[in-house]
Amino acid sequence: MGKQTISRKINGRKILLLVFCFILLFNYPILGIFNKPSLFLLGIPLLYVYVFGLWLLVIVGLFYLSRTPKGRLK
Amino acid sequence: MSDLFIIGLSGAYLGLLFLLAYWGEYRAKQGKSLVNNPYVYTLTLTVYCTAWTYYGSVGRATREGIDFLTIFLGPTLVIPFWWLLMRKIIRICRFKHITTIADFISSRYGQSSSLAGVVALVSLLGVMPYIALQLKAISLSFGRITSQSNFEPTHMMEDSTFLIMWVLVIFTILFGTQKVETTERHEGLMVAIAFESIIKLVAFLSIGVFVTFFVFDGVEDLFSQTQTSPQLVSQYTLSDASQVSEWFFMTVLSMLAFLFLPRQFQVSAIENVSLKHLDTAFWLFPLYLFLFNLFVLPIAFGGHILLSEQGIEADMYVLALPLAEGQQLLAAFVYLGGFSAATSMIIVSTIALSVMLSNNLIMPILVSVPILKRRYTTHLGQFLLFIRRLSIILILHLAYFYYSVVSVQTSLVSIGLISFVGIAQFAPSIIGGVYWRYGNKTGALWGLLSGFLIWFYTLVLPTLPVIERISPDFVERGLWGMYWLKPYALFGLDALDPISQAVFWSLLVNVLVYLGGSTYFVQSSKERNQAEIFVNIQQYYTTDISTITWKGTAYLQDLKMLLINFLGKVRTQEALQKFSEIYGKDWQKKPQADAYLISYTERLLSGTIGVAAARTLIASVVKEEEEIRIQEVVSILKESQELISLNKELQEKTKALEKTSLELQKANLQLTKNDDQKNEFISTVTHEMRTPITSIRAFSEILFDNHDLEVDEKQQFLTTIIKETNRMERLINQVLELERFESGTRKLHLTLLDINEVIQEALESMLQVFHEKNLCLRLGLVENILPIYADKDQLLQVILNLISNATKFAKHKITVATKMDDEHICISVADDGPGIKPELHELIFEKFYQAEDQNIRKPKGSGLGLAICKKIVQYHQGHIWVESQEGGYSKFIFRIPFRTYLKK
Repeated sequence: MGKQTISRKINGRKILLLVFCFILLFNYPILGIFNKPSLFLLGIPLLYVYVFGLWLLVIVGLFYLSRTPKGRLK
Repeated sequence: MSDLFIIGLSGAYLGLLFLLAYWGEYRAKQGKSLVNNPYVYTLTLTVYCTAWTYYGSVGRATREGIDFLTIFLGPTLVIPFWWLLMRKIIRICRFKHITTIADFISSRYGQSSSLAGVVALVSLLGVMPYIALQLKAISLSFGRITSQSNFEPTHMMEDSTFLIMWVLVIFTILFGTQKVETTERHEGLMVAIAFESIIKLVAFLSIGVFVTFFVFDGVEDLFSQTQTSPQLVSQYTLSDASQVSEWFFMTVLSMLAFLFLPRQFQVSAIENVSLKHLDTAFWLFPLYLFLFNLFVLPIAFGGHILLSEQGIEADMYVLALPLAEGQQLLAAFVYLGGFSAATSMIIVSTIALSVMLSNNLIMPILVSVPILKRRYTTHLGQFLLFIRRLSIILILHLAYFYYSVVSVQTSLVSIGLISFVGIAQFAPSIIGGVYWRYGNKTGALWGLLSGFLIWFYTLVLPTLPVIERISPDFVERGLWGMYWLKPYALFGLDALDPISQAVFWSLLVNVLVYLGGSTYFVQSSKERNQAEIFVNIQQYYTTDISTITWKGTAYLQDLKMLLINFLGKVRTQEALQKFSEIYGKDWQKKPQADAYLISYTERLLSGTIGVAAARTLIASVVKEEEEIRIQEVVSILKESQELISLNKELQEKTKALEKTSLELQKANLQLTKNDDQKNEFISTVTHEMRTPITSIRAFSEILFDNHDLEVDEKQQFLTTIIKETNRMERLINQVLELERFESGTRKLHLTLLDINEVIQEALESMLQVFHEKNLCLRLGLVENILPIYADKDQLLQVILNLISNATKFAKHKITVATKMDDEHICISVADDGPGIKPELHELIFEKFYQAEDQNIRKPKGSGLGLAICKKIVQYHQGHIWVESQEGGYSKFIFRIPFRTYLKK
């Protein structure tokens, strides 16, 4: 684990790609798909569910990158 | 709640922080550092979540809905890049003994003191509103919880914020300025900050759970109740285009703020113990932000539903909600959470700024003014600590002043965002400095100044009361009525909100000026040197390349005195002891210090007084030979010339080696080919001999075993035996002949001869065959042909072989002809047989080669005839080839130069 784990899986170019993907997912036009005032999920506006749900997924992904020996990006 | 209780609670909490900080320092001295832990490191990073997060996010969520999230999404999205960048920055900081963001930028661009000063000033002006924001948050929360929100103190001493500020001054001075060396970590302080991070998160989660599940009946109930408020319903989505662009710009802005805020730089890079800790922060920091923001919307919406009619400002819903529900203890705990968020930010930011002020603004002036330097020369270290402590007092008082004059009129979020845009101006010079080796001081300085100027004009100026007097309609009509200078719609850009347009213009101009300046102006050698180290720090991290910075000598005593003045005798002794362990003790024997010791001293001083001031101090004792003398130029040129010459020589030798290698390869290939040919030759000869031997043996055995055979039969068998024996003899003769040619032992018996006569002789011996096969012979011999000097028997053998081959394949006719030019005589033998495929034209002259396609040319004979012909012709320096058309004809031609032989 530790520093070397991430280093083994990910390099500079892939990191920039990852950041770019994150920005893309959290911005328009993707965000526009969920930006519907009348849509709710479990009583919560869809936009909120999308943003918080995706945020949690990103954290899980980051955790996976720093810990798991499998599924390496590199 | 009584104000005395809250003051007491605040005091007790600060007392707890004091204890924790002492404990942290104590553990560090025992060698059991609490900070050397990835979770503690990540918790210190959450100093990003200030009172703005704690109170301001709720206020913003009430007014603008989910927009508030961008400030926390940005750091999450940029965390992979942060991980990459921070690894570089931490290594650079350790290698160069850098302690502030101003030092970092100035060090990259040639250790420029002017650049360091500008960065320090920008940081001070950029962060000041932010500290004021924290003071405002403390004041608001104190007013809210003690129900004194409308109380206006007439004197500073009546203002609780002022008193709390002074407690923070004492705390910061006690734990932030213990040592003069800033490279050493503030262990105690970081422990206290980590503790505060836990308190603020737990407190915020507590109020979130309370509002969502106790005041309301879960999330669904809360959102169903929001539908009665049109204002809250409109917050379910991002409504218009400006909100969409704001979303994007705010995300980018928060990314940059997280990367470059001085307090983030302090905790991320300077206070970092191990690079491994970055890995935990990689996921844990975004998780902390996620948890912190999970209940912002429920609190905001719940507060609006329950408290909006009471006129309570949304920024204070976090506190007002438990108070309104009669939860006094929870309210006190929530107050402490907000207090933690504010104080942690104030403490870390003030330390970072005070080091910048002392090291990058005051010390460079002090050490470059001889009178001041002489006055304080014997106690510079103590004086430096004094300056730092004074800076802390000054910074916090300035922040208090800003809070009292400006920030009381502005919301928490607005102040925070103004600070973020100011700090974002560091992005081009830092990212460019770390990844682009051609970025230079001119580009960085002017880029920073222009970005900063736009920031000040578009965001700070409109908030200052003084502008009202200069230009009353400044915001609506621009400076002196120039509409394109409207601060919130600069150059006519009115499609964006004020913050987004300020981000856009300031960063655009900053980046363009940085790139333009770096491209147009040339880097100095010092800048190039630094750029190389910064961009490729991975290569230099373990080496001592910094010595290349200094060229010159210094007296050992001068360097020692410098160190003692700043570090004291004991620390200097320890540092020099460490130097001896690395470089040996030889330096002690000489009165003059070498480049290694000079660089070592400079790095030690950089960690204490900053890179620029250290550079100035070292320059004052080092006799540096900046200018290159003519002799040096000549020497360099000579060396270069020698190198070029040596290089040329090496290149030639390399070429010769390559050529030899190529020849060897060819020879090796030839040898391999020869070996293969030899094997093939032996195999073929053996095979060819086995056929007649088998026949001879078979017939001999029949004759031996059957004595009663008829005479005719015996005759027939014996004839076959003799024929096969002859065939074998011929084969052996041919093999021997070929071997003689190939080994070069075959001698030619050259005589002057008429080729027509040789042809006639050959034809005469073949007449019977022509007759038997009913072939028509045509002759095309040149009359009066010149005689040639050749071996008659050999030539006869060639002609006979060619005619013999022709008779085997001809259908009706064979043509024999001669031709002559100035140098050669050509003899050709043609038949009207089936012809030979073009790809076989070369191969048929190889040993034992016989046409594979049995329908075209059936193999008869040993397969050595044409190979021997070729050798004989080559021996006569001639050439033999075939011209043929498949299904038409074949014409064998050989050409012999007669002139060569005539000369002989």
